[in-house]
Amino acid sequence: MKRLSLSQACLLHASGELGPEASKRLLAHIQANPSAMVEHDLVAGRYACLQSLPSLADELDQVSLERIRQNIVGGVLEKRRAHRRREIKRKLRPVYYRFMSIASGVAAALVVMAAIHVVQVRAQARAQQLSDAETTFQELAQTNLPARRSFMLRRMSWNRYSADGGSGIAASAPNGSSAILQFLDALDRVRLNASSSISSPQ
Amino acid sequence: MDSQALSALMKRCQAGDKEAWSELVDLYWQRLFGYAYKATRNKDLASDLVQETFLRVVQKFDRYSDQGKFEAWLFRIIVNLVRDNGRANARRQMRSTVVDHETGSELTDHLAGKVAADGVEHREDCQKLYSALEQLSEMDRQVLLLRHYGCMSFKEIASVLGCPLGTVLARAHRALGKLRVIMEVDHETS
Repeated sequence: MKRLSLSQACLLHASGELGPEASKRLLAHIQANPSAMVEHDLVAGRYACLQSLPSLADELDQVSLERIRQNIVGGVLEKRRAHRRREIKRKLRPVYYRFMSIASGVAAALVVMAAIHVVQVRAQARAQQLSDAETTFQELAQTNLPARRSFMLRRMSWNRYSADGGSGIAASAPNGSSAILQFLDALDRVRLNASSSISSPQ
Repeated sequence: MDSQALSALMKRCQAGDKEAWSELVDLYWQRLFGYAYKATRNKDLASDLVQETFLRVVQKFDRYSDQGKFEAWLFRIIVNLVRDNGRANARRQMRSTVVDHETGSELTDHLAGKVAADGVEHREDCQKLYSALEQLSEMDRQVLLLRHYGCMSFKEIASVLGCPLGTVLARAHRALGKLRVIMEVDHETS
């Protein structure tokens, strides 16, 4: 129980908030003390002044009140809907970001794999072309027929041209082939001279 | 509405029942609006503040555990909103002067329109009471407005304002005394 001053107790009594037991005690006190009775009447009069303020229903007509009510109820429900939408978005955001990061990771991995595949294919093609050129060169070294040699040189030149991606030294391949042709003719001559020098003592 | 019915209504609200929200707003809007309207003296602003109050409730309702203090919570929100609005207005002093002037006339218009039926004398008394209320300090006025327009007991007001009952009663007593004095001075000068 709280101890209240006389004026506080009178105020509670005037407002009807003092309990029945406390009210009885207060009334007994003010009946026994004239000064307390004066204080009680003073406080009651002051409180009555507050009570005389018009209420909302006294000030605003029914139509205005209904309009305000609809405005408030509608506004609250609308704000509640907007809040729920925001909440759903907020809850979905981490899921969305996780999905997007996984998707972008997968896409990046695919791009890397595709790039590696392309590089591998190109490397294999280049190795194959070099291998073909090597084979052709060996065949060329073993043949004696000038026409066939010329044909194979052109083929080898073309293989080199393709292996180098159609640029650079490939442009000079036909000139190079004539140089190689001369070189091979020289080799033939050396071989013929050697064979003649070996056969001459016989 | 008793506490059990209110508790049931709040559970429905927490479950997302739209009708329950309408009921809850219907239950409290008039008291909240009455307080906000008298504190701000602006109908539209008061309506916005009531909506904002319920929005705050919506935002924090999931975390709210019912301990029979919903009403105090609701009024604490609107009291804080009104106070924040007052501070914001004070910062915009120039604009505030215009708003006060406009809303003051709005209040008088309402009085003139509705209370006129009760007679000129009563209307004048009400106007005097309003102007006397204006002259009170913010804290004193707050107690009286919560008591009269918020229909709250002094104990509930103490809970809303977060101060002891004795302090609230002392403020109310002082405010009523000032009100009386202002009214008497006005009466003598007129």
